[in-house]
Amino acid sequence: MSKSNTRANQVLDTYFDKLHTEAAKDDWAPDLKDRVLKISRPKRVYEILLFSLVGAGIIAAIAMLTAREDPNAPPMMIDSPAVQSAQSRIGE
Amino acid sequence: MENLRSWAASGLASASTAEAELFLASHKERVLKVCLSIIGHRERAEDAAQEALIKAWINRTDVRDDEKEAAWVRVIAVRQAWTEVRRYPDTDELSESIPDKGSADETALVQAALNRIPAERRIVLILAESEGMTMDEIGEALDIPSGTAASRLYRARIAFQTYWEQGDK
Repeated sequence: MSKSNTRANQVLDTYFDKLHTEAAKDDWAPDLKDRVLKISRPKRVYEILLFSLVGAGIIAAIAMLTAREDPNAPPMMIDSPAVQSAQSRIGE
Repeated sequence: MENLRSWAASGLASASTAEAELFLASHKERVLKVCLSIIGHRERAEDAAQEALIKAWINRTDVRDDEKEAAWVRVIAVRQAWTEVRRYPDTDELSESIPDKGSADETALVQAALNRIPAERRIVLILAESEGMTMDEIGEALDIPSGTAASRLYRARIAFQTYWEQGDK
C-alpha cells in the first residue's frame, strides 16, 4: 500500500468518525416513538381480530364434523318404501 | 364492557410503549449513522433513518433471532438510504465543484472526492469503510453478488485516492 493510499484511508477513517460523532451528538426525531406507537396499535388490534376469526372458524368446523359423526343419529333409511320403489323402477 | 375495552387498550399501549422504547434505543443511533454516511446530508439522513426505523418496526416480527435483528435493521437502513441517494442523484451540492484545499475543511474535501465516485461504487466504499461490512454483507444489502461488491470496492478505492490527491494538491 502506497503512502498516499494510506493517507487516503486515514482521511476516510477520520471523516466517518466525525460523521458518527455528529450522529450521536443529539437526540434527533423526538416524536419518532409516538409515530411508531400510532402504527403499532392498530396492527395489534387487527392481529387480535384475525386470530379471533380464525379460532372461531376452527371451532365451528370441529363442531360440524362432530355433529356428522354423532352415534345417536338415526340410521339412513335404505329400506324405506321410497327407496324400494325407486329400486323396482330401475329394475324395470 | 367499557371497562374491559379500556383495560385492553391500556394493556396494549403499555406493552407497545416499552417495546418501542427498547427498539428505538437499540437501533436509532446506528441507523442514523448508516444513513448519514451514505447520504452525507444531515436532514435527508434523518428523514431516511426515520423511514427505515418505521419499516423495521412494522416488519420486526420477520426476525425470530434477536442476535440478527441489528444486522437486519442495518440492511433496511442501507436500502432506505440507497433509495434516497438514487432518488436525488444530482442534488449533491459538493459534487459539481471541488473546493480548494485552502478554502474548505477536510470534511468538505472528502465529501467532494466521494461525490465524484459513481454512486454504485461509492456506496460500497462507504459501507466497507464506515460500517466495516464484509463483501457478503454488502452484497446482501445491495442485492448484488459479493464478487461485484469487491470489484466496485477496488475501483472506488482507486477513484477516491485519485480524486483525493487531485484535491490535496
